[in-house]
Amino acid sequence: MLKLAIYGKGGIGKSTMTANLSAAFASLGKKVIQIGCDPKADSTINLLGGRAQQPVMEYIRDHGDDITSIDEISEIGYGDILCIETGGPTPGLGCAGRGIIATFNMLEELELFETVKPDVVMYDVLGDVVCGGFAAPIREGYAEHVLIVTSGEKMALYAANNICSAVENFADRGYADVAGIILNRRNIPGEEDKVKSFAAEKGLEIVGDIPRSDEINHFEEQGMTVIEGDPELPISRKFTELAEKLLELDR
Amino acid sequence: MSVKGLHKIIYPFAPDQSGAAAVLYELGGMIIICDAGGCAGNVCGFDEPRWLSTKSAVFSAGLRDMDAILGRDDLLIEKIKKASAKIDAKFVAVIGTPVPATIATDYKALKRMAEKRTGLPVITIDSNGVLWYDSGIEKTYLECFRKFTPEDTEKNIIPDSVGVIGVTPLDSESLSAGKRITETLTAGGSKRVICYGVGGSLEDFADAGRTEKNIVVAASGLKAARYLKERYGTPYECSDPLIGEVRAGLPLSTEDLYGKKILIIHQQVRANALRDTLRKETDDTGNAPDITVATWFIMDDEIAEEGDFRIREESDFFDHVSDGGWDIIIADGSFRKAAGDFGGRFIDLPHFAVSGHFADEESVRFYT
Repeated sequence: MLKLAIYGKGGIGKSTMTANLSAAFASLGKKVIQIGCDPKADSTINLLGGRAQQPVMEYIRDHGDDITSIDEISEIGYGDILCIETGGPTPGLGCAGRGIIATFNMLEELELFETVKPDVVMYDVLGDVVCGGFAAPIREGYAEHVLIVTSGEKMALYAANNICSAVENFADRGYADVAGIILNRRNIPGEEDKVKSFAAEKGLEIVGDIPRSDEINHFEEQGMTVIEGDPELPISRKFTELAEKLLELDR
Repeated sequence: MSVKGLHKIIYPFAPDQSGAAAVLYELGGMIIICDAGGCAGNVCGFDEPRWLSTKSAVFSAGLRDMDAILGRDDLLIEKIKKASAKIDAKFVAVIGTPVPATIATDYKALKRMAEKRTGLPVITIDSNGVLWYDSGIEKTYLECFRKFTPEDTEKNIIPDSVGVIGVTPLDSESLSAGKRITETLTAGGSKRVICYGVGGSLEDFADAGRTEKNIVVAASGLKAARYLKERYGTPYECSDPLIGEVRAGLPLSTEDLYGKKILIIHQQVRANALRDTLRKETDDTGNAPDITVATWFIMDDEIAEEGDFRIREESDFFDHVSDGGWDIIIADGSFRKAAGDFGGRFIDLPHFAVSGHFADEESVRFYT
């Protein structure tokens, strides 16, 4: 089972990368689970035809926490991908990180992995490792590898650096490692060099290089990934190639 | 309006961290209650009757506000390291409470770091102070067997041996329960009786894969027994070796039982055993009582009869008592007040996890 957590600065395109990768894995015949770990709960929207699913935290608010079936808190999206959104508390209240942990504990009690038997699990995490809750996806038993999405922009690289530092701090805890960087291009001057330089400094590989693409926006407007929209597009093939490469991590 | 989980009349029961500590208390480990101090005080001062008579290394992690805010797990690891240098502990156990549950402490990481720093085996129990004692007992037995029972590749079964899972003061009527169970089973032909966690040592767990069978005396031991059956092929049964003396202590004659509708409230295995005993007494009379078992704690379907039920809220208790048409209720004495104007007979059956030290004097009177 390949378990990946996607981190990166807010707005850098983590959910876009995650959903397209999930779709690519699914198109390669893999059983995929995508878990959105952001209180905004918009990770899986483009796997579900543009429809926002009810997050687990909201379900608990409405129905109580006596959940007995995965079906109650998940939806099936493109390519038979099982979609879950942790969601979060009412904005401005409560503890979002704790909500992620509570959701994970619940998924464990429901024996999600044993029941669904996925080949790939994707955790789409809020921008930065701001507290213990947001490191939960890379704790032992969850994601084994972290992918950091960044552009060449200064603040995106700054966030990427923070994430690397957090993972380094967790070295004696048995947490996930950083498997590499996905360069999500914004077409700023010298972008490739800046990211390459950062990757070299951190000893990381740029595992994926995703060009800026109007097709991504075009199909997101229709509530789908480019893989679903047109798998033959060059941008779709980029995601498929990246998915194939990432599957090597599980071998 | 009823508030979920609120007890207005019935005492709050022992929480899961107390159950976890109860299993570990006599095993020679260093028990760290991962709290600010109050939970450890509750464990030692209220839920652990051995605290005054039997030595055990129980510590509070002494978490403070900023430790929680800053997630300073490393400070706790340092404290454990320092304490382990002064104490001849065979293992370290970190037991969760509401504080680490709220800040989502990573127990797997704590275990990994503490083992590295101390060189001792470490177990962590993710109790949260919100669940009842039986949940903590259940998790802790399971964790102990997983950690301390090695693979028995030779299947070298110890002849006439029996393991007893579920003996803790929280479910027992007195501190001598383990000793008396051992005596009872020995008198019945068992040559080696291991009451896991009571009157023994950590080494007992090493032999758990080699016992002939297990007896589960509390429902909180069922999960561990199932694990041992699956992993080592050890069969298990649910029974209560002390049920004879429990029955003898009840102020109820056989005639009192005839045709009566009886509710027994306790942990499921004891309540079941008492039901079986009372039925046997009246089997031949053609006037057997109708007996139902209820529990606030684990209600396992495998050993439940149709009509048995779990009580989840105080209001459930009120409803069941008033609407059940019972002639006799057999339950911990602390429920007597909550039973209100129940018009039948209320018979005390002490349960330490329910009434704690309030039951001590009653228990002594009851069993001696």
